[in-house]
Amino acid sequence: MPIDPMMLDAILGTFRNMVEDCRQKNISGEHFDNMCSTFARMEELGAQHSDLNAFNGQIMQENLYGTFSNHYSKALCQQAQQQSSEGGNYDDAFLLKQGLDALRQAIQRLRDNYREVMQMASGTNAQHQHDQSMGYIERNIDKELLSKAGGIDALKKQTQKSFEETLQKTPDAYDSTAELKVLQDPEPIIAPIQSLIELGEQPGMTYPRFLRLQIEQGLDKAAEGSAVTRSSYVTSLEFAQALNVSPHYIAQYTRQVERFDEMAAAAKFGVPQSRELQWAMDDIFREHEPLIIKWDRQRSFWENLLDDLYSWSLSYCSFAPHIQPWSLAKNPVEATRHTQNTQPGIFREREKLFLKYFGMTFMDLFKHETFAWEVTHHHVTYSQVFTEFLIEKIYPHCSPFKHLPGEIIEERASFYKKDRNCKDRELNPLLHLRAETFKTYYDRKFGEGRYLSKFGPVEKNEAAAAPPWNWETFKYRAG
Amino acid sequence: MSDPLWKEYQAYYRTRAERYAENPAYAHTYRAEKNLSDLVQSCEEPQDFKDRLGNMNELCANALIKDESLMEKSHFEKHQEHIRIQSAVTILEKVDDYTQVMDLITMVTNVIQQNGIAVSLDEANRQFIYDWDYIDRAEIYAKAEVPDKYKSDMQESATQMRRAIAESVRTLTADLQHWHQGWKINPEVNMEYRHRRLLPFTEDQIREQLAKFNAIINA
Repeated sequence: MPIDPMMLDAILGTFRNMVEDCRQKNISGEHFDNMCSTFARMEELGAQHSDLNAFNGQIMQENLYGTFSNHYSKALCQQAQQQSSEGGNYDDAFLLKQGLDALRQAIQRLRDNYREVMQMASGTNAQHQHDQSMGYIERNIDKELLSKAGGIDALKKQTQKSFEETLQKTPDAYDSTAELKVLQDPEPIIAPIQSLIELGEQPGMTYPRFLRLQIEQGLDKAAEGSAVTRSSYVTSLEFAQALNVSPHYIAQYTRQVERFDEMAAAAKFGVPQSRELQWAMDDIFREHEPLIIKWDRQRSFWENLLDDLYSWSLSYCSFAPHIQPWSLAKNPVEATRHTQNTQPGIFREREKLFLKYFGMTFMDLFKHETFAWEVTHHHVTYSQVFTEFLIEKIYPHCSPFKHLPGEIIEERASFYKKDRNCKDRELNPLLHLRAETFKTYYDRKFGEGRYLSKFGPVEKNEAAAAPPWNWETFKYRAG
Repeated sequence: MSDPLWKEYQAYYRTRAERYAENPAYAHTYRAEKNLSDLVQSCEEPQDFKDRLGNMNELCANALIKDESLMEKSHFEKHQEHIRIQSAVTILEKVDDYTQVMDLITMVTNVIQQNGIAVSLDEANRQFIYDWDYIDRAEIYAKAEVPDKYKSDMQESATQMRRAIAESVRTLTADLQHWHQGWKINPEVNMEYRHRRLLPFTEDQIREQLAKFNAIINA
């Protein structure tokens, strides 16, 4: 089966447009011919291959993207040189005009691209894209598999219903224009380009003076987008602070913003050299990357340990066969027994690895900085009272070949919201604050009410009955 | 060209060179730009400059590429990035052979692209890192102490986990062989600093995990 045209067009469309663009500009000659023959080879491979990865692999092995780009640059350059030499004798006004026209075109391109991107992000095309995706599934997914899932028509009906429901609940679910307006607004890049044009338009301006002043005023570097580079680090820092995933992300982005400002202050004309900046930012990224990885691994390890205790103890409750995951098994009762008999062995092996890798016992995890961070930033899943119950009543019994005593099973069941009359004491009652904090930031950044219209309301566990975490009273914490 | 205009060109070339002064990272660029500026300052009129210019403009482009490649080389040396560094090393070896800017740009683009493939192939070995937790999970299932009745279930879970790891490596290999014929995963490179720094484990722990990974994918 050939590569799906939807996938192939997404790749080749850009190159096709570049060829067309050159044709419209009446660009011809050796380099344009080479562009066309390289593109023809890409199309030929697209028709030959049935696997997108194999197609891309051969394109890369034959360096077709690189060859095409090189000839494209040379074709454009040749045209610019031709236009320049057509001027004959030195003509300062012509050179200045040519330079300013190029800047005006750049502004136009930035605005056109932005309009195009905004149109794509507006979500007005979402239904069409949805239909296209279903068409892709229909063409590419195994018919037998589709039939097992009820057939393509049933799948289409089901996904269309879900698509419409999503739009009803969150009208901006497929619209990212508010976000793009803030994050990819071209005006901060256009402003220095416009300043350059205004500089060039000053009465009596000459081409060499224009070239000198743009360096001295840092406008050439600003036009490369240095202001946008800084704001991208600031935005990353804001996201890291709003999400509070780990202190290392915050430290990394804080340092990157600081370093940018230090380099700008030290630069001859107030703007850092882009390559120097790139490596300086990479230094900071590399310094923090291992710390972020270690933090995430430690957190994920102890989350699994707590989850093991959670599900093991829950499996003893009388209602366990009626709730997931056990209710999904062929024999739910037997599935709960399986958990009761195997989870302690799994838990103890995981505990051994936790000690081996991070030098921590189960009890040490509560003294660890990752746990303190998760509690103080409302990320930890379980409530304080339930966590203490897991530590004091469940953990001591969770050993291979041992079972949970009857009196504890009853107490364990009392934490779970098994019906509408019950309250939930398992979950952290302030878990929603994490999303609330992010929502506040999101609305401040992208507009009041944006979070709600895009993601829906922050869900609060209305049945939560456990008291909020009080780190000071948590007796298993450090010091 | 009028005399005042030529003076403005002299000022422009002076500023161009000045931008790189006192920045040791751009020493070659500063020297090349300074040579060009000195020539401009020494010429009374544009024709004199044209006659004496030679390839000094091209030398400025070469110098900039050289400085940026030296910076890149030094950066990746510091971080022990033995594959990523190859792009800068190759460019530095070739840069002086080029007299035309467009040819220089073509060479640089090609080298960067080829190196990009080499980096992707090298970093594909990090499949070992991504599979770390799955290796652990297989180990946990295999070692967990459980009543006899459940032992075969647990061993089966461990076997399935190992099969999934081996399958992911087989798929990765088939995919990457489209990009580079004969590519084979080399988990041992994960002991090298550029990969190893992503693993918050001791040397012995990584070696032990590597042995398990190799046993799984070569079974």
